[in-house]
Amino acid sequence: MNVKMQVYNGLVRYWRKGEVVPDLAESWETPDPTTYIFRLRRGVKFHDGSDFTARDVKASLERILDPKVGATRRADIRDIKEIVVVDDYTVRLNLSRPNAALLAYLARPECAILSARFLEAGGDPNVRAVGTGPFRLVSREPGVRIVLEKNPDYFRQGRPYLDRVVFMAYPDENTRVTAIRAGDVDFIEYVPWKDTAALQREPHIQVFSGYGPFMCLIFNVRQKPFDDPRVRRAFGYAVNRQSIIDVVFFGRGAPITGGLVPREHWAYNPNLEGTYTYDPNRARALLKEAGYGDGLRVRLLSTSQYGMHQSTAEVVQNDLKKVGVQVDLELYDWPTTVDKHNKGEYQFRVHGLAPEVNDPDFLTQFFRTDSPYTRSNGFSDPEVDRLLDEARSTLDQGRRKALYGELERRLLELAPWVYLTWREQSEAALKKVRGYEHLPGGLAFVSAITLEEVWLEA
Amino acid sequence: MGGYVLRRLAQSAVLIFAVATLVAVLVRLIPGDPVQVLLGEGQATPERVRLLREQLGLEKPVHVQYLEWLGRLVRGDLGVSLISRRAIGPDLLQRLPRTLELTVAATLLALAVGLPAGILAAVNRNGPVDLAVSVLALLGLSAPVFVLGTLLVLVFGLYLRVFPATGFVDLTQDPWGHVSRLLLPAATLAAAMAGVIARMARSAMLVLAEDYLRTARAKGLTERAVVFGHALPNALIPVVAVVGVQMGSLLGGSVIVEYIFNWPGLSTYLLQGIAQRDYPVVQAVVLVVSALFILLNLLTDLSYGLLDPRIRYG
Repeated sequence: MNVKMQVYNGLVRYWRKGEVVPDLAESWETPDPTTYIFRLRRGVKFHDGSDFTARDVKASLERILDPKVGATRRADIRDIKEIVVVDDYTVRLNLSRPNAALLAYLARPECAILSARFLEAGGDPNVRAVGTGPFRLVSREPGVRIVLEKNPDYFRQGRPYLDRVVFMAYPDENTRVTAIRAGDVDFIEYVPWKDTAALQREPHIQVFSGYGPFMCLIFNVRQKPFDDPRVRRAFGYAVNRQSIIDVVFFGRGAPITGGLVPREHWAYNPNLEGTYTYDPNRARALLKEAGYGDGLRVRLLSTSQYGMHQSTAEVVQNDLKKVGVQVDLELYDWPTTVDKHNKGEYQFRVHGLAPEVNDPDFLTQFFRTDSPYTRSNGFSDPEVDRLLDEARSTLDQGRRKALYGELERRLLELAPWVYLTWREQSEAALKKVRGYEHLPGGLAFVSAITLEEVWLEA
Repeated sequence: MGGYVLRRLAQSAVLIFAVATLVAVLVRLIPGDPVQVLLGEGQATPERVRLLREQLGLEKPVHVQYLEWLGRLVRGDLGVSLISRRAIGPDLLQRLPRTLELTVAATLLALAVGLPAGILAAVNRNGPVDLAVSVLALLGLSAPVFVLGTLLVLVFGLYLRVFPATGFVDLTQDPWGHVSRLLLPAATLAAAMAGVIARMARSAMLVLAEDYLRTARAKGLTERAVVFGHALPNALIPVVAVVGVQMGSLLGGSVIVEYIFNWPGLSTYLLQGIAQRDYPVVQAVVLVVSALFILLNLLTDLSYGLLDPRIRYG
């Protein structure tokens, strides 16, 4: 994905504060709620020398919408009914219904604009990359490195600053930290929490951080005992969120006691704060009410491949023991965990996730009936679906905020998931690396979009 | 000799085929599924799972997949990675030399240190040198590679900063950069082997007290001529045997070392393949490594004949 952002552009993109800004589209208007008209940038060239026009937009979006392609964002932009090429530099999207989150999804790197000529010639974007982006793909060895070089014809004048970028794969977190400390690399992502403080103390290293990803428990609501919301809520009171932050994330996190829409967002609802606090007595009472007053034994799915998942599971196990619940851990490697998740073969599990777009519509992916997540845990609630759909097709921000407030309250009540903590997400770089910015919230993972503005200080 | 070599080669081919079959079956027994890995948890709708399964040819029965794979294999085609969708052959060919380079460098290093140390110990039998060599050899043998590797990274990469701690650059791009990144992993890998070679060379050289060497000394040869001209050739056979066997296990032992130093050889390719349930990649790597291992053993056996005129193959 990091590479995608360097090689391609979208119609729009996320920028430093998480806002959606023009990219290949210079401007857009919505004459009515189901029509978007994009005016495109002129004089943009693909890496193969061909001109960028409205035809490329049409071909790229139609490719995503084609069910046979199996594109990641198909479900999110499915409201696009028709893509009309008005002229070479104007494109109109006709929607089947209003969609307030459309731009938020179009700004994702998965909605990159590819060359129509390349696609029509049968080119496979998995194999070759022909984009308009600030860098061109020079070579790629999966799992080892990817080499990019500056695109001299990039449409943003004077960018990028770097002549050459090499992405090196460092799967082991300790090796990754060693590499930045030794100066073998200029920049690393995914700083392990245990090392953040030490790296901050290094005089030649800077750390970029933000909250965004979160840890949670997902319950399989098809089976006992988690078919009962009281049991799920009890677990929400039984876990001491602060001890997860201290033990797993070395203090680098914040407890989630309310909803999932983050504090700095316009849709944030402060009234929900404090819904779930550490309250073992309340947990015991709820368990008793549900008929599990004499104790309960459950299995918790997690992965031994990622320390944060395993350690979170261990804290949860420890806290639940105090309210009379015996938890047996099922620790697998990651692919097995994914497999069990997708098949719904678990009682409850630990997960670490992040909102993928800077719009509360990210909740659709997690809680809408028939989304991959609800398919896994069996959660389905008509009221939740109605609120999600209505909020997505409502354009008025005040009205949307009210709908999401209601939705989040209902989710906290039904507790298909128990939210645990926000966790800090960090990158580290040598001090000479300038111009990079860590994007807020779940957009942390698209922060590399700012790479075209990065330079190295002499 | 020719008949023997042919027979051994045929046996090796059968063995390699058996390994290929076994791996093809075993790798599919690991729980997990490449399609689920590719789609992850947010994307795995039934339609997309079905679609991807078809695109990757995984909807066919396992025995059909296996036969198709064998069919491609005899034509020298190792197949296509399920995850990256790239041909495996070229990727593997890019990584194989790096692992071989690491293995050979480690072996040479181990020989360069182990053999003289062993000889020195034997010549100074029961003296302080002998004791020092024994202790060091034991240390080298018993230090796990992840401890030794981490220690070397810490000392040479982070504190002294004489070598880069991690990574890889191509030999053609930056020869010194390449070699300097090779030294630490090679040394880590060499330690245990150097220990074994030193011990082996020492005990093999204890023939120094035997009659034929006393005769050699009696006819006025210098001690140097006795050691290198008469004792060493005899002592070499067990050493060669050990080097052969150890080189084979170095191919496997390099897994952790490649991981610690982020050396992009076969092992990291294999690990990645396993972690992603990339069946054809795992099959290809295991096949190539076991073929190498088997051939290396064969070569070791054959080399005895060259070193010891008494050993003849019929």
